[in-house]
Amino acid sequence: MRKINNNIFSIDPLITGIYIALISIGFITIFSTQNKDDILFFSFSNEAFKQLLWISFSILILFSIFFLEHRFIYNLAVPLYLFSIFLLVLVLFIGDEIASSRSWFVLFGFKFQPSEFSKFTTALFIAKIFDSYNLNLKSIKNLFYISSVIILPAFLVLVQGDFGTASVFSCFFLVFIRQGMSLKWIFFVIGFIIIFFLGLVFEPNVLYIIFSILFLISLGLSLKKIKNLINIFIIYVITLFIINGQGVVLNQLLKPHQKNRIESLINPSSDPLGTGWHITQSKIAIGSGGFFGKGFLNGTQTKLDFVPKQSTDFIFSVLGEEFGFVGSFLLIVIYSILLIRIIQLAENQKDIFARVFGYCIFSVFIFHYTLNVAMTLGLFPVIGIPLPFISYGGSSLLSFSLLLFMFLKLNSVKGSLLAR
Amino acid sequence: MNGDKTILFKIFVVFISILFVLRLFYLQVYDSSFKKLSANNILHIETVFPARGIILDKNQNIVVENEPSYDFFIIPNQLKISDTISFLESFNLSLGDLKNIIDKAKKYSSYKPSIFYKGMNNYEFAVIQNQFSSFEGIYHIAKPIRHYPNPQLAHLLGHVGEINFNQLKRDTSNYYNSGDLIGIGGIEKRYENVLRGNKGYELKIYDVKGQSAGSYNNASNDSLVSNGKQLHLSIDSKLQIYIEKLLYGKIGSVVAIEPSTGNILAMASSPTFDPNLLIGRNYSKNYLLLQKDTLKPIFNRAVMATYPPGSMFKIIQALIGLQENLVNSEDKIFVDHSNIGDLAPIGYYDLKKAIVKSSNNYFFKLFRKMINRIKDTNTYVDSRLGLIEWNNYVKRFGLGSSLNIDMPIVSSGFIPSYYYYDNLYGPSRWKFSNIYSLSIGQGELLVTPLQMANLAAIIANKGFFYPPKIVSKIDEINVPLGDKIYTAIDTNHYNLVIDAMEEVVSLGSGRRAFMNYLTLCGKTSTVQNPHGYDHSGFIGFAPKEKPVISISAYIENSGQGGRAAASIASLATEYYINKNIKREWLEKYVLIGDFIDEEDK
Repeated sequence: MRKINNNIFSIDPLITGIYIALISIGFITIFSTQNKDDILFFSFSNEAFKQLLWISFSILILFSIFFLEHRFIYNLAVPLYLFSIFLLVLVLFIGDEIASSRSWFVLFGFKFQPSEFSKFTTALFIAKIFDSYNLNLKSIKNLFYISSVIILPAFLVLVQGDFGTASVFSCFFLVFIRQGMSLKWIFFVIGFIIIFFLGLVFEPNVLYIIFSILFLISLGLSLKKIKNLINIFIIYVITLFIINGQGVVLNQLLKPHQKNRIESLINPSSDPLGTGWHITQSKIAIGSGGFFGKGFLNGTQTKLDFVPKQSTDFIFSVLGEEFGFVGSFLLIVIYSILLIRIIQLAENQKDIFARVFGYCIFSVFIFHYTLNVAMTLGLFPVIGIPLPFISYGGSSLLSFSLLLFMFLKLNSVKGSLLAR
Repeated sequence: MNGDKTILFKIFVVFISILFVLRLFYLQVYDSSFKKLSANNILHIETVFPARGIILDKNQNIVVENEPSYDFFIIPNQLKISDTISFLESFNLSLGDLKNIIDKAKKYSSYKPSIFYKGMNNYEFAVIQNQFSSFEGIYHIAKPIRHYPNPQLAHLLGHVGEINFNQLKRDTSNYYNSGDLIGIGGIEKRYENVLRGNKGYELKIYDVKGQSAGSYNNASNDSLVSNGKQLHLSIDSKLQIYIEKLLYGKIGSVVAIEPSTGNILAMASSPTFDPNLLIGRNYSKNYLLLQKDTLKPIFNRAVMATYPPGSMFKIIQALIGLQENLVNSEDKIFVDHSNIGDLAPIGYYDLKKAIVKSSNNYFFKLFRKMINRIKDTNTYVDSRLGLIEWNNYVKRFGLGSSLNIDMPIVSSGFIPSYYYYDNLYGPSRWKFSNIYSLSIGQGELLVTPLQMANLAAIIANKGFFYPPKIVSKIDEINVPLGDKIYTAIDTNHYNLVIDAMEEVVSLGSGRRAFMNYLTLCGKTSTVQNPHGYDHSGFIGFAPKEKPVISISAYIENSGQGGRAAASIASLATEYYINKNIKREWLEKYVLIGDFIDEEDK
């Protein structure tokens, strides 16, 4: 039965096509942001040129994946995860600080961000764990163990000062849902986040009163079951803690710019020069694009440096301005097809490793896509995460490409399941 | 079950995407407001600078007001100057300067404004205003700057200047940007948060020609500017200007306080300068000149210079003596010149006569009684105990303290403690003979003119004072008086020294200050000074029965206290109370300022 399938044509053509389309759109858009009179194309100060080099490098790596023995991927999971944790610790000591995050290694002018790499290794590791142990996620103990795999790198990234990337690790809970985690946990977390935001709008005392009343009502409704009473009490205590700790989190744990981002979403004029301004500019750029857009290289809002971080976090606003509703709509359709296709392929896997890994990359992509676009459209607080394959950035491009194509490789050999 | 979840995920993807498409449709197709900000329109954030609070004196006269000044910005990629020569003339630039400006601005950004000309005044602005239409890509903003209609109070007010790098780094409020103005020194610094107001921000649309096309989003995203608050000083600016006139050409200072409130009525330090020098474009140049001046015109002598108090300190010694029962009003003792140099004649003295004649040897003996109480057989330990007690009394007069005045930097002076002498001579290595100069206000004692004016207020009040303050009202809200502070001396003891001080002016060393129509009580000091002629000092208050002003004057290197200081203080007192000067001869004497005679040389 042993059959090694190294045929490139066995790679899923739809996703490969989408991949090529996305990096092309990305390159064109980055090129547009760099098209200024004083920047030459063939220079290392031109991000489009650097992105081109990164794209070439990524494609080189992808080809080597095709010729990789797929068992190698299984075996790599543990060492790569450990290695990425090592890098995350190392960068705290010898990394360079860029934009108040100590999360970069700088080598010959190229910046490398180990936190991007660790998204990929964590995905592999999670797949490996589900493959090796038959975890029942109905058990809180198991849920706790598997969560620590995510929390460790997320914590290290948070220590570096990169809140955006750290938050990405929470996406893996989507995988746990697929693997049988009860949805109620998600509802709890979302509930607690809502309570946190309510704290920005209302006085703590008002919230205490509201939740105490709700607590008494729910106690009254479930008097018959002791277990429910205990659960309600625990939830009530956590709620009080969140209301109480909200000020501490805002004022002490978060950096001032992060606090501003949260506050300016509730009240845009609280930070007229900072985040509120960014969101306003992004909305104007996209809005002024109209139905057909202003055309390639013709964006004025973005060209005039009014939109911040236009080649990375806010790249969608460049696209929206130059290619209009038609272009933005197209990108959203392409992304939706990509995401749905990944779910389909993941469900078709007979191998647990491949399936879990498939869900991991789905989770990573939908998290980035949703939050990045929502932020650019002014629907979510400004959070520093890239739009996969579109945003400028070598580490993220390489990491996203590896994620996608490792899965495609696994998918291409699903017929030879027993081969390992 | 897992199949259900697959559907759930797919629905989630579709839901998110539909949400995004709807939002995009709203922004790009439905809501036309973004398109109105068409390709050629550019949104600017404009800072609206608040008008700094104006400053009034106690009679509502304007001391400090604002006038506009203009900063100019350049946006290189919009720059189009049709008449280069008139442009260069307008800004007083050479062609080379213009090239430098454009290069520098381009380096920063071709699309964003860079500042290139700061602080154009109202008059210059009016001249070139009509030419603006021929300059594209040049913008200006109005920034209020200070103006002093009646130049005065340069030291007390402080000034306003651009925030420097260190201040910017220390600013935790995140309010200031580089280039912003901030109060430097004096009242401007102390009341910065009240005076400055809060900046506002406006989103403004400009078309490609740099013409304003109105507010963005009906100004609903703007944050409003709030102007600074008005400060009402307790200063009487007429008195202040008169005192500054009297001090002209002299080195020294005068402080006047209203005893019943602690309000500062005047605070002058000489040499002084016109505060209008420190505004606008010439700020740096002028500040440097003032800083280099050997007479130190920037130095606020009224609160920062320290001198030995000299003979006026005898009043404190007398009060301590009375309180401690070391002397009473009837006691007479024989005083010769055996202990310390003296100008008072040899003879029998009671306390009042000792103050009036300023007998050094009398106070030498009194101070010895204070220091050596024979509480311990060891004379060193005894002196130490005596000094501790004396020190406690002296400090209650507000000496050695900043007095909590509302100014940013004031000197506290120096009242030596046992600790100081222990360090100087070694523990138990000093006794009365080492410290006797303190008896007549010389030695290590250092006081500021403010503290001495406050001492005069304490005597006028017979034993208490309010912390001196300069600002009495912020907008229409009164600044409350500070807590009343009492000395350790009983009220009745003050009557004797007040009578003595009346006699100092009517019969004693302060005769030049005498007015037969106004009872001024005072005490002169001739402060020995190793660096030249003696300093001339005077404290006093008037009228005797219900004092409304207490005053101190220190004139450096002007010889006896009865000449320069007493004359200036007396004139200022007369001017404040009677609003005019009857003794033109005295005014002339002061203005000529020739206080040193052969005897001093």
